[in-house]
Amino acid sequence: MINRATWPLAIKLTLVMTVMIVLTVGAVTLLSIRREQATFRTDLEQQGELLLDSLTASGADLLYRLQLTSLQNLIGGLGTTKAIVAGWVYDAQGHVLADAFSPDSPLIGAVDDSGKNLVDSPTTVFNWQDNQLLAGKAVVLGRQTIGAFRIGLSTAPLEAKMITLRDEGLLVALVASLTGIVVSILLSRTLTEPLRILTSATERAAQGDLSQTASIRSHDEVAILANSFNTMVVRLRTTIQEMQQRTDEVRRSEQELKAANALAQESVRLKSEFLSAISHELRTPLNAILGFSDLLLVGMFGPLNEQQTTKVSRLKENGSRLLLLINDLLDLSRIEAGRVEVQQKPFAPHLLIDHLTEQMESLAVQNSLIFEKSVDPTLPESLVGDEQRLEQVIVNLVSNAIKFTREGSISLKVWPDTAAQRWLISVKDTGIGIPPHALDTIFEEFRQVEGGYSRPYQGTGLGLAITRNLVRLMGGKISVTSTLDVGSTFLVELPLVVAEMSKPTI
Amino acid sequence: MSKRHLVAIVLSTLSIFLQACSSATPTPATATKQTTNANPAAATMAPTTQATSSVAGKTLTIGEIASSPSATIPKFQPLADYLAASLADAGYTAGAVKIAPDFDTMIKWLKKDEIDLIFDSPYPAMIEVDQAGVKPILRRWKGGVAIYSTILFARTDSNIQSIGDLKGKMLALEEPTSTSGYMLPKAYLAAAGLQIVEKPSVDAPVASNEVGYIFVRPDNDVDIIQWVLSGKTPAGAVNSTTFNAFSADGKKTLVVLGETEAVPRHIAMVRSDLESSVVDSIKATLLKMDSTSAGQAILTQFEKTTKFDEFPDGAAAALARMRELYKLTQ
Repeated sequence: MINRATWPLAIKLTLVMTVMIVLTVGAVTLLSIRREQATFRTDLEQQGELLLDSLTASGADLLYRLQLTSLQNLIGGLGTTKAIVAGWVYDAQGHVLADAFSPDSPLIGAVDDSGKNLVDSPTTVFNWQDNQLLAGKAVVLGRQTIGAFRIGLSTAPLEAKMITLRDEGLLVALVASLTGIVVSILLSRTLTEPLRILTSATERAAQGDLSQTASIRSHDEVAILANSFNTMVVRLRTTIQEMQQRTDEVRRSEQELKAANALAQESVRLKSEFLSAISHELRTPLNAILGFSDLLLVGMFGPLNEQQTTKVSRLKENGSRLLLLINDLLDLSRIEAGRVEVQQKPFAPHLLIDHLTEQMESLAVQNSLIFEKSVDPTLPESLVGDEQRLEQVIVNLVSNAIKFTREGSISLKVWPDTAAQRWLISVKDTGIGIPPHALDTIFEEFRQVEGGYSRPYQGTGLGLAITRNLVRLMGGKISVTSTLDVGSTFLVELPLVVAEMSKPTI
Repeated sequence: MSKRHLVAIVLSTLSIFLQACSSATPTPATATKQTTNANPAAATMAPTTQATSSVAGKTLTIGEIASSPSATIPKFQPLADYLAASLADAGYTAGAVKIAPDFDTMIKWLKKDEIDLIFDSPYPAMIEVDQAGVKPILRRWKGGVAIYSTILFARTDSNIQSIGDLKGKMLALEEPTSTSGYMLPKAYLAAAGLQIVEKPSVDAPVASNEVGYIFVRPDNDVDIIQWVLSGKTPAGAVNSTTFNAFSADGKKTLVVLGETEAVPRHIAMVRSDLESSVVDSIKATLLKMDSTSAGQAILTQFEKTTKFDEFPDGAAAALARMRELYKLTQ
């Protein structure tokens, strides 16, 4: 079983075109032969009609007079051209009066059916036979049919012409078919060769060989397709090379990043260790300085005059500030070094807030500010978390609020968001506010709002950085909204983990 | 190329092939067909012919002497049909025309009553009346004239200026049964005291005391004028209608030697035993034919006849004068 679907396109095209050419040429040749035949038959009938008219014109009087010899000679004279192969004359009753080509025929005088039909027919009668066309016509003078003429026109010229036409037609058909086949083969190759080249190139490209292109010399649609394919291959190759380069770069960058990260971590660790060590080493003498300052101020070593008291007080104040800075640095370094661990223990948030409120409220009052506290009663009685760190966070935020608020109030608000499994702490003040450009950096180390706002306010600049790190360690996040000269609101969101013991029993 | 397109193309090609095959269906080796006859007369006449043969009825036959039946019958057939139609009440259903090759045949046919109606000029009419007993009924204005004569003429550059100069000369005449082409000029010359003698050929000697003549038997009377102009004969005689119709330039080269008396142009005659009612009907029809357009058309086709009328002095008088002229030539 031949599977034609697998045949090459060139063979299919060649076969189709060849069949079409052969059929067309054959049909045209046959049509031509038949039309020539029809034309010849028509011409022969017209010739017979003309000859009969001529016979009637020249022989009617002879027929009327029954001058048979003259009639015989008249019709016989037509035969000299060999186009006329038979001729008869009939009287009004259809009797054969003369047979021009066989005058001794016993038919003369007999009634011939053909003659009888002729004299009774108002029209010219044609009778096609194998080798001749019999054409007959009655001769009518006035109302009287005086007889009829009948002639036989040879069809030999027709047959000869048809044979010639057939032979010529077959020759032309053969030549045309062969030419058509050759042309169709060439045409098919012309059409399919670019496709074959393109197909081969596509297959190689599909197998990963992007080093070659399809070379098509024509300027047709296939050439456009090939150009597009070549462009696609070049772009694909370029793209793959670029991707390879980028992959290498990314890989290299990743390695560099890993190294840098490791170096950074090591640096942070070393920095933290250094800070921890130096802080520890600093705190010991500093505590001694502060201790001796206190002793001096309480007169342990004798009374101090006013100037000495002032100097010692300034010494203690600066020492305390230095200690605070060292503690903050120590905290920050611990956090960055990962040495601060957040504890997950049950605690009572209500009690914590109440406790802190006592501290903060007095500080606020000292600064002529109003401290407001609001704790949602639905807040669970006991939560899981690091109470100490949480306290540090709230103290830092409230202390900051008091520090940057000259008048007005400080509001501490605590409430749960059960749906989000979080609980929230907001600290709102009516202070100087934070300019918009500083909101993004407010939580970074050693950042205070630059300019006139921060200068009057003393601090290490590490409080919010420590606060953010602590909140993150507790699995929460901190954000701030602020309007200059109106106030700021810091919002802390923490995971709501209710301690088992405080879960309501149903 | 999709399969659908491929199939469409192949089918189109096959249809062309099949069309070629179907249009080229060979005609059977033996086949008969009929085409309209090139002769319209045959096509239109044939039904009547069939009717004639299928219905028993009388046929009115007109006789005529002519060398070409095929040329003559078409001129006479409409008149025969017209008269036959007018005689339908008398039992006539068809009209026929019978062409005799010569005068003797016509006399024979007349005697056998094969001819009902015949038209002839006065001299042959006289013979037909005398030999076959036909009866003159009307005068025929053949060629548009009621009467005609004969003009005797010679070439201007000849030495013939009068009929007297014809002595010893050859005269071209038409035929022996012609009125204007034989009887009138012969009688005219005889009345002038000339002795006229028929010669066997134009080269035959003519005695100085006689006028020789030869029958040209032309297809057309004009041929006699051509004979004289070409010098075959020094003089000739043709009817006045023919001579007057000859071109003016041609006539300048001719001299008229004399003109005979005028006689009726043509005479209509019927066979002697034809019923008088039929004869009367024929006469009545012929006399009023020129009053209708249909009749005029048939008369025109009938050798440019303009009408039929009664003989001014009666038929007997017309033939009586012809008999006198005939006697003059004997």
